[in-house]
Amino acid sequence: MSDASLERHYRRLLLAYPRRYRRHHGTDMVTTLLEMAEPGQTRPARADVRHLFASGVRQRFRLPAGRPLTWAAAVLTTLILGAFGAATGSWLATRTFTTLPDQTALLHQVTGTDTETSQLRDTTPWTGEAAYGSAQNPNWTAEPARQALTAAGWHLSPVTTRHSTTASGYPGQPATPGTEIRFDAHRDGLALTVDAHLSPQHGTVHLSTWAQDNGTLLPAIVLGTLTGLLLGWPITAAAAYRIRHLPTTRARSTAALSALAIAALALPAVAFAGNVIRAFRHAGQPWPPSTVHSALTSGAYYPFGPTWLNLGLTLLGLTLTATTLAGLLPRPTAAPQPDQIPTVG
Amino acid sequence: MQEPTFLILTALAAQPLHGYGVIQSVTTLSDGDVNLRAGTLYGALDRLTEQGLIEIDREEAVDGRLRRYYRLSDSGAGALSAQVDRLRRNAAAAEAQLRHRPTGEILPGLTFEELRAGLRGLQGGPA
Repeated sequence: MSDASLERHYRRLLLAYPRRYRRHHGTDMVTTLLEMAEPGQTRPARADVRHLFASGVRQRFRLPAGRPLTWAAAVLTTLILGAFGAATGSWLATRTFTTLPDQTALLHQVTGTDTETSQLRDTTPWTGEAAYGSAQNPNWTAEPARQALTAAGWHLSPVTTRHSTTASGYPGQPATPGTEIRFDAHRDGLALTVDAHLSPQHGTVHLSTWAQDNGTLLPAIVLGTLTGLLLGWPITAAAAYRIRHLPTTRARSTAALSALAIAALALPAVAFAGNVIRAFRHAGQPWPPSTVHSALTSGAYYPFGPTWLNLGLTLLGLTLTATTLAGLLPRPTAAPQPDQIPTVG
Repeated sequence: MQEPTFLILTALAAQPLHGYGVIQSVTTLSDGDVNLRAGTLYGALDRLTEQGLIEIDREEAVDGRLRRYYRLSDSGAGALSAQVDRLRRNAAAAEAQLRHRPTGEILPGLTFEELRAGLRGLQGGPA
């Protein structure tokens, strides 16, 4: 019967509606839609398809009536999810960056000898990972280093040389002449800076290496933000409707837990938002790229609190969120509700 | 209260109706002006149930399908008559305002300007 095909189309269209709504109204809606149809109709009209789909999506954004706190929760959840979406996009983008090469080998290439080196991997709460190394070599010259790097496939910038004098600090003693030699290099997604400070007795060569943005960072941040913003409101709406159907004490405790989760995640979300602004502002500059998820690394992001504040609050907030979601799930021993007639969805 | 909502409550005022019945009734009541779509209808039914203005009357199985009938609740009837009063008041006020509007003709064949000129002529005539 042509009715069966039409019914199948309508049931599929109703998937645009939230599951709870489908369970309650679904069958009745299909009945009404079939009654409205022309005899012999096998497919819904295109305008009807659009309208039904749009109504379903709109229903996902509708909050239970008459509760201003739910509205506030929806706004905050949307913003927080947008910020965490940006962080996720940023993290995924940096997974695609070039991995840093072996720093010890690189240092020896640049400084030329088996000199004593010191290294550190630095992360800041605002930028991606960078590696810093230095070596002592009073007889260092730029040329052998440049040749070694070119041989290894690096593209070099011209050398800049600056002469200076450093006061000795002792009266009567002459100032020491010094030279600063700098150049940059880059190679398939990696950037490098050589900065040497030379004087008659001493020579220190500093090396900085980091992975450059391969163009995916900003689009990934935008995509992640939009995804988070889009999901925030329907998720709050679905949770709010579920809470309404819980027994009073469980409803109150679940609502309280969700409020605590939002409170915990608010500060990290603000940190992420600040980093999004930095990421766009510093795009294209010759420094380690500003990323969003770096806010979770240990550091003095705020002029207050411990260095692990963002990470700690994120973990706390995620735990509270998981507990809230667990509280929203139906308990297996609950008696079936009267509106749970076998229906669409 | 929006027009579709008003019409749905009106449709349910006389007797309980099912989904398609409401749509047909609204079309008749509005003289064909308002043709509800299923999405709009059920969105309104859901909201009105939440607000307590309508409630489920009964459910029937027709041709093996579920058909749910809705009816106007007491508070729904109160809200509807309050809206009727408001609309009637507004309509009467608008009608009164329109009567004060200087129109082309006061009486058939006599314009406002002619009437004024005539009155002035009466005033300025010989005592």
